[in-house]
Amino acid sequence: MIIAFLRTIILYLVIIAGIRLMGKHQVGEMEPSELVLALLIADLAAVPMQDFGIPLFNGVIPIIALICVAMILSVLTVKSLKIRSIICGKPSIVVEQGEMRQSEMQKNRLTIDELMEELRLQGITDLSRVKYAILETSGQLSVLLYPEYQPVTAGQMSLNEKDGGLTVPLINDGRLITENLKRCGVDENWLKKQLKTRGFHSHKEVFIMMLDENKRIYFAPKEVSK
Amino acid sequence: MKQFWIAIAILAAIFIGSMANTWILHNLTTNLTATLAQAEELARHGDINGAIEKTEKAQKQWKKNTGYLYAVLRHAETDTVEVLFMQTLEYLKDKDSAGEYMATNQSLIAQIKLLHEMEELNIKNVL
Repeated sequence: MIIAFLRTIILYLVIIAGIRLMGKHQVGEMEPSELVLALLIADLAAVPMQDFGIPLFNGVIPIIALICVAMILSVLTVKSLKIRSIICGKPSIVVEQGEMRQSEMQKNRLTIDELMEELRLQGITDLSRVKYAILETSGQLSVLLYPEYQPVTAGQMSLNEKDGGLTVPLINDGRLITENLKRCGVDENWLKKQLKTRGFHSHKEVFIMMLDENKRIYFAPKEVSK
Repeated sequence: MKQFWIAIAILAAIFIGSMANTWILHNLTTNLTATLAQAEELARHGDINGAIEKTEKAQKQWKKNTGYLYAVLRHAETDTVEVLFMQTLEYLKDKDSAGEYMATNQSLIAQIKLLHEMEELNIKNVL
């Protein structure tokens, strides 16, 4: 049993390290090479985890080798467009000037139903409003509408909307994040004052407190359990 | 670019390590099979004590490397060798089991050779 326990921990740490090295992509946003890597790593780790007759090295060495190959490929794809198009593929324009490009759709095995579903998910039901729809290498559909159908912006309306900038948490579930206090140019005395004006004495009573660059505060106290 | 070279270096290290492992296994299995073949030759000429001594020497050498072998080989294969060593010695000590000894010793030699062949870099193993 202890062997299963230790093997699981070791392999889990190796996988986590591998996934972290892959970057912050989520599963739905993975490039084909990244998806293959994730599937292979999971499979390679599972075998020695379940079968104690297989040396741990048989799982760890292929995982390390895979991560190294993935790293080499990722560097090469950054350096060379040709290699990038071979490994990751190219984005395909499936709708151009409101018209479907059937050959591109066939090439990507994208059906009309799938295209319409993707458009509906983005709130578009009328294909004639779409100037471009591009199937990205990650499998996601990017849609660019004709200007008359694009949402109006504050700039177009000549509105001077104040930019709140980045909002950072100062208190997270009762824990004080002193690093963010410094970042926002405030100190603990300022925080105590803010808590006092809201009827609280300690940051431990606060569930979340956030501050933006205009010193606007979002505040939520902890719920008192009955 | 630094990551690229680190990855290349790790891959190279794994490759060199794997080749070193094959080389170590080759040396170990060659020594073991040679000693076991000598033991069989002695037994054929009636020197049972000499054969026992040689087989025990081979077993000692095997046990010395058990940790390493368990780390790099499938445990089922290494367990089989351990069992065959014990059987070979038991048959050797029993004067009426000469035929069984020869057969088991050959199995042991074949099993040890297989350990190296499994790790050998050749098309047969890659495919």
